[in-house]
Amino acid sequence: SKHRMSSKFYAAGSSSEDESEEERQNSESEEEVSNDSASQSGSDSEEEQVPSRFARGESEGEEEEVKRVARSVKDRRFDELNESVRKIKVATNANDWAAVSNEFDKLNKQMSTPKVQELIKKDGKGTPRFYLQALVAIEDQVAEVDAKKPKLNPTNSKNFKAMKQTIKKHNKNYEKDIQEYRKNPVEAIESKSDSESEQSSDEEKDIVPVKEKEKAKGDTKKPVAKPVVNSSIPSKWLAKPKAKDEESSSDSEDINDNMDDSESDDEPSANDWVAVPAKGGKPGKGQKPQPAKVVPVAAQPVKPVEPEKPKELSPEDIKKAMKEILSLRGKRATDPAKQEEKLRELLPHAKDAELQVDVLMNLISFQFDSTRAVSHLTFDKWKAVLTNLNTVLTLLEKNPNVSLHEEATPLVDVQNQDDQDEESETKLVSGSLLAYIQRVDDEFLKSLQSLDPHTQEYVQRLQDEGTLMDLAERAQAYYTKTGNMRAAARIAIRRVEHIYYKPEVDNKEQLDKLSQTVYANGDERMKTRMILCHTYYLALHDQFYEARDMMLMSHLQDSIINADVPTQILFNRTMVQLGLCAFRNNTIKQAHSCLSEIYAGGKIKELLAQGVTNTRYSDKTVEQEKLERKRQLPYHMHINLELLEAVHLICAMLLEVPNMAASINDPRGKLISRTFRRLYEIHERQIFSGPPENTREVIITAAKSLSKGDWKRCEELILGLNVWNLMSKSDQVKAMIRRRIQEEGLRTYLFTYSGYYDSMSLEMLSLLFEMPKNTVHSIVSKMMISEELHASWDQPSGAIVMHRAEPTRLQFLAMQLADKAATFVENNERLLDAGRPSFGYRKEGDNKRDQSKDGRRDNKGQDRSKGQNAGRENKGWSSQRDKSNKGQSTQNYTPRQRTQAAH
Amino acid sequence: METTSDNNSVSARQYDLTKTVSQSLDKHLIFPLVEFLGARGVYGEDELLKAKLDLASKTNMADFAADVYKNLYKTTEIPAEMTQRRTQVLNQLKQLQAECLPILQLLENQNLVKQLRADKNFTFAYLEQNHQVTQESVDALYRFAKFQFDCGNYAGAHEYLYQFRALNSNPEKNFSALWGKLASGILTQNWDEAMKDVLHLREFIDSKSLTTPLKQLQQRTWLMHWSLFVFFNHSNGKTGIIDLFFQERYMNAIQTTCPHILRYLTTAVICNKRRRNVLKDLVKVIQQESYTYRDPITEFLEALYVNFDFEGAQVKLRECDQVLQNDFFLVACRDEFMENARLFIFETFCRIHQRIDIGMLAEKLNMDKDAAERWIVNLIRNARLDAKIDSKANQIIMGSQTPSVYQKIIEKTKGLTFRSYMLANNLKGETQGYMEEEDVEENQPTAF
Repeated sequence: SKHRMSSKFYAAGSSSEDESEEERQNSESEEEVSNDSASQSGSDSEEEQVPSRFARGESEGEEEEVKRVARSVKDRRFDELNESVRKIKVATNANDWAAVSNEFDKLNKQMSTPKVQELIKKDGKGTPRFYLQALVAIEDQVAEVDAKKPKLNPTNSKNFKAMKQTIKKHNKNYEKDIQEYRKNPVEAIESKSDSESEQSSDEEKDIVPVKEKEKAKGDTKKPVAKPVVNSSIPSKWLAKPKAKDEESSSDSEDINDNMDDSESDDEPSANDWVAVPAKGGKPGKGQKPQPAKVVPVAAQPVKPVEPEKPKELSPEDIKKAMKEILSLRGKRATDPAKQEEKLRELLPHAKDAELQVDVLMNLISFQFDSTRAVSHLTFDKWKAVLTNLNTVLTLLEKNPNVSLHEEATPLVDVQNQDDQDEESETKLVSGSLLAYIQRVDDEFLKSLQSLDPHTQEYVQRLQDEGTLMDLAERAQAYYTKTGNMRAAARIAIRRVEHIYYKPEVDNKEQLDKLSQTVYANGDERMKTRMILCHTYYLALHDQFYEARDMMLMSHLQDSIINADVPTQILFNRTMVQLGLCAFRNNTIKQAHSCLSEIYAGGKIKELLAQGVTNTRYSDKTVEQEKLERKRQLPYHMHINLELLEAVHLICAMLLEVPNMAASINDPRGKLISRTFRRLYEIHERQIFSGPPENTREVIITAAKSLSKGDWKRCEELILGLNVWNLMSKSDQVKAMIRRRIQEEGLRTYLFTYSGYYDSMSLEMLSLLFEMPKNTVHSIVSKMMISEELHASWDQPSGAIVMHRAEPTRLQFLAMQLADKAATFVENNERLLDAGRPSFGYRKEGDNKRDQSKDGRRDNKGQDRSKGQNAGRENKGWSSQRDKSNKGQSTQNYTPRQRTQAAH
Repeated sequence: METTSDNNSVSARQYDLTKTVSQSLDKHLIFPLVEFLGARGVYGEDELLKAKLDLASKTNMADFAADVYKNLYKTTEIPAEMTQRRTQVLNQLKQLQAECLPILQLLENQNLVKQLRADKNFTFAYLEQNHQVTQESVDALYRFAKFQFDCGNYAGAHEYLYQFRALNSNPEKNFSALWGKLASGILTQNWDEAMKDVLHLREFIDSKSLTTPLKQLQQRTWLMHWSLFVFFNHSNGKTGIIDLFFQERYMNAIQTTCPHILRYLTTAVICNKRRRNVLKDLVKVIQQESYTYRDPITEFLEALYVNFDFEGAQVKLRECDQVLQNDFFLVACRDEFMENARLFIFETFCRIHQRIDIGMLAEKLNMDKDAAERWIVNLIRNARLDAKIDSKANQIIMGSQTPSVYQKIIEKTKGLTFRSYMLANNLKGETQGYMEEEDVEENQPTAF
């Protein structure tokens, strides 16, 4: 069982590298666990199988090992239990009663195992505090829920009721303990933080078994001198860098360091790890004797944190210490976590704002360093960074004479001159707040990318956005005040990118304000993104014309191809959103042109960065895939793809079905939607088509009915789709679709059957398509004027009189022959034209003609060529072109656009 | 009766563009508009007088302002500040007169000026040498002209600006003077001159020497508004307005800054029989802008050419009448518009019908039956309509419009013979030309 357990810990340890929230929050303990298990693995497993790694240490360390095992077994047990307790707390807070009861059962099971019982007995403290804590937490929450009666869903409330019963029964057994606990919960908290501190400063912990072999286990539970200032920041949890980084720490940790070395590096020195003190000065081990000045700093961890520090450090000392820390930064042998801690130690000593800012800035940069091994910052660390940034900002706001500058000489290098400058107005501190804020924003995004969007954690994580936005707002205000408009614009665009896609909030004013900042001070890329975000926002809020004009006036469709990929993705998103908006606005044609291109390549997911299409024969390199994954948008920003496809296909259907009916005899009939045609043909080819199963099939089946004139069936199918629930104002949209289906049904009907009638009555059509007479009249008239329908009204009788039956086969062929003859002559003419240059004269004229032709081709071919060039990320919007020359006056997007506006 | 007039004034106000248009006009150009509104009785008299006073007090027309004031408040007293303003203006006048005395004296001598102009000696260089004209006095002339304009002496201002432009070499001032000249021309109703100035200004604006595109856009907007005076008064204005406003740049400006101009453009297009070809483009623009601007006139076109809703068009046409009556620029072409609009409806109607009841048509055209019949007979006689009247059934029977398949094929192949013939000829000619040229080339060396 021992072995099983240790492997379990391994699992826990390794999972610390997956960045789920629990692990992060509990990272300290887990890290401890993984360390322990690493060190223990030998002794644990030696009972069953002898691992090669620790074979050497066996004889020497036997006795100690055993003790350590005993201790760590308890710790591990307790860690596990602690973890459960923590989970319970999270779940209770979230009112997730299913999870609570689940964890509670688990906890009880664990508690009741003989091992644990034994341990508890040994511990001699009675029921463990953390266990009581859990019980109390549940009890409290139960009471609260009972009192407040918040809305719970049926299953949840069922679970809650069950839990209420259970806890009532269960707590009776612990009544006394709980009372005691309630009387004195502080101790509990303390002891909790104790265990945390212990775990966080694992040097001390590791020392225990070596130096104080004989000490009772209870000791480890005693408050050891703890250095943690900000206990929410785990000092280290990265198993990997730790082992090596340890080396750089001060003397007191030597033994321990080398022990770690021996374990992880598997060096021969492992044999004599007890004798390490003698090797204290071993070179090449990062054991460089550290300058004496550092000692006070390094010694800090041992001192308890009390408000009154016995020793005050002068600014000079701080600078020196900082310089020391900084000089080690990035070296292989340093542990960022430890350095970070040291910096944190310095903080209370820094008295003037300037120094505080400097220390904080360095601290933040160290905190960022911790991502070296993993993909993104942990929750806690991220929050810590945020807090620190807020503090920096507060300091900067309060001390207008202190300012940050990227190129400023680092404070630590400015030694004595600084004293002279003391009185001068501005003090420059090196570092960039802007860069950190951007970084912290990036980290936020990264962490969202890595979370499963369907979990509670994701939702919780999203809630942090508020604090982030507050910080950004403050920073922007600060930069605006200090006149650094470029930075303000940078932050503004960041803020915009957190706002623009949210449908539920009305951010118009805020967005307008931010956009002004960006347009006035941003660079080209930022302006581009701003326009896109703004357009997206407008489209999302059904302001179609404004959105359309903004898109057209920006001329982005021409230039987006030169933009970076994320911006192109944003462009695609905007285009798609515009398409949806156009659809809701009953401008089907525009909607279709917005959406058709993005669907042309069948890579919709990639184009919108909403996942990856699974293709068997993907030719993507690993590198590409990695990049693609990096670009993925967090789930809450996604545009629903099913809705999108439905809208696209419905648009295509409404346009293509009458078009197909109209050009049934015309072999060169124009094609509106290739995608739709293809799907339609596939459906057509099927010998037996079963009832439609997915959105796509439903729409194609509906299109078939429509083409037969059965608009009712078509409507029934389309309106029966369940994607409409995802669309805002779905009732309005449905009414619109119904109307459009009727109209297009009528048109299709006339195209298809007019050839077989001499006349049709308005009345009949009106009845058949359930439309008012004047609407039918208007539609039919339109078709007559545009010569789609060769007929005219007989006004007195209210009938349509067909002028032309379908041409007979002979007539049809004759028409074709005439066409061909015309083409033939045309070709001859062209041949002569093309032949001319060979005569060696009239070249000029020919050139001119060629140019004009090219010009024409350019205009027309723009979209096509763009589509080709675009390959992946670009979408044109062809049908709207005519308006794209519309100038613009009030908003100055970019200089280039302004010149275009002038044309 | 009263309620209808109330309704009229309400709808007139609803579609009144005076306020919008005024934003792009000079103060002095607004007076005629306000005057017109007063005559139409769309707004209360006091309201308009106040507006007038407001305008006048910003100009140098102190006496006029005083009159308006008296009229408005029914007193004979005027506030001290107005008297003050008057003396101030007079002082300024004296001062400016003194500044450009030499040049004014010269200009007073009409014969001399004529002579100089004839000899092409009316230039700054010549006058400086021979007539003691200095740069300062020329600049002063500009200010003087502006001052005169502000005082309401438009004819004088027109004259001075004309002379100034001949002497001045500063393009900026020249441009500005041109605007001044246009305004004076408009206010003195010198339409031919004004038309020239409009075209001149257009060139100026389009020649990109002018600063930023944004400014250009602004200038174009102004020009379009100012030119409305000219286009709707000049005999050839309705072609001019179409030519100018359908320019891509101007169309962009309309869509961007002043979609309300579409009312004037639409009216001009409907009134202008020879420019039917722009109709399609216009309808497109109207549709595109319908979310920012619509009035009965644009809606009329929309009803007729987008929705083919003849009844709707009919209703709109009645509203159009209201709007036209109350629009300063359009009131003159009201009858023309109505006649043409009627024709529009009728033509479109005929295009999609093979039989029409005359009674119904008369109703649609706002005519009685006999008049309608006469009207149609006239149309048929003038060969604008392929139709016959069935008097017994009281119907119009349209000639068949769609050519038969045979006709179509004949149509399609008709040109082919000719084209092939031309082709062959061309080919022959080219080969011959080629030979000849080669001959020439060959001959050239021997010629030397």
